[in-house]
Amino acid sequence: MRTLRDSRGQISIEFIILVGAIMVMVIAVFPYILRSNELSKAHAAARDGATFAAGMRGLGYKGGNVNELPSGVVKITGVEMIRVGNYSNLDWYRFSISISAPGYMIDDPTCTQSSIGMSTVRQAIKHVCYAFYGNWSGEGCTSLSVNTTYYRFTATCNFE
Amino acid sequence: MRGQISIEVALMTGIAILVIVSLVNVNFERLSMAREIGEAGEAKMVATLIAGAINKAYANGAGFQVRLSPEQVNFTRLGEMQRIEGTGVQLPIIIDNTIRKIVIQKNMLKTGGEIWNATVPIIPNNTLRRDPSSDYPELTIRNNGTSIIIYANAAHIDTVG
Repeated sequence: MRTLRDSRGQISIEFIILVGAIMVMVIAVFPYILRSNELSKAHAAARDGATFAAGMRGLGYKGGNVNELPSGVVKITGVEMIRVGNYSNLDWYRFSISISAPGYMIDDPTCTQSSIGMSTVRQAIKHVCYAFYGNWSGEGCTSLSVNTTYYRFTATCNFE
Repeated sequence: MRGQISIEVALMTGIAILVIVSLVNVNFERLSMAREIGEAGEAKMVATLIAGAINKAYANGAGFQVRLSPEQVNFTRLGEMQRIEGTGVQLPIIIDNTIRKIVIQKNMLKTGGEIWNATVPIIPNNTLRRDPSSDYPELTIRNNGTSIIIYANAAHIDTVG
């Protein structure tokens, strides 16, 4: 049996092969990681925005063009991300925000027409816009949608 | 082996920096949001305190007065802009006699909004502001028989209507 007397190069060759293999794998899955990262970033931002709006509305605050409401306990009970389809080469996802609010604060049974619903949906979209563009009115953003590199995000809501 | 260690260190440092930077970004965004809601809640609480004092003065008749101490209503802290980086409650707090409400305005520019406001209803429609004096320090609320007088600095509270 032969014994290698000089094995000094072995570790560095193993290392190079391993790093090379890892790099190939990382490069191969990188686009998927990016897409997945965009989705989770958007989901987290939408949740933050919706919670913020619910908190402010619950305290009785309102923005410029919406109805004033009395204070009450407003809670976001869920933010689901639903794939709608395609929109000009972008994957279109819609956030479905479930809101729990007392009856006296619901000024329209259609959530998206109600004051709480409008504030919640707008803030959710604004926060998604901020997460991607670093400002509250990026070029891919409107008050009701955000377009990113791979995705289009919109939002709707329902009362529980 | 020397090269191996330095490559590993460079790789790990790079990854650590990426992770820390992404977490710091998320953390600051959430901190700012929590601050905004906290400030808004404090402002609403202050307005409720003032409304309660005005209603008490109104309900108890001529000569009744009540004082809210600076510990209860800290205008300096309420309107502080530096520590919350450009947001805060906009002072003065407005007592609107026409709609019989106390109006608080909160600057939401940092979180993408414009000016959000909240109101707290009051009973009387004849509240007037006067500058505080040694007899009536800030924030004394007094019923003089014809009006409800609130002794406060014009930069802190104002009345309209």
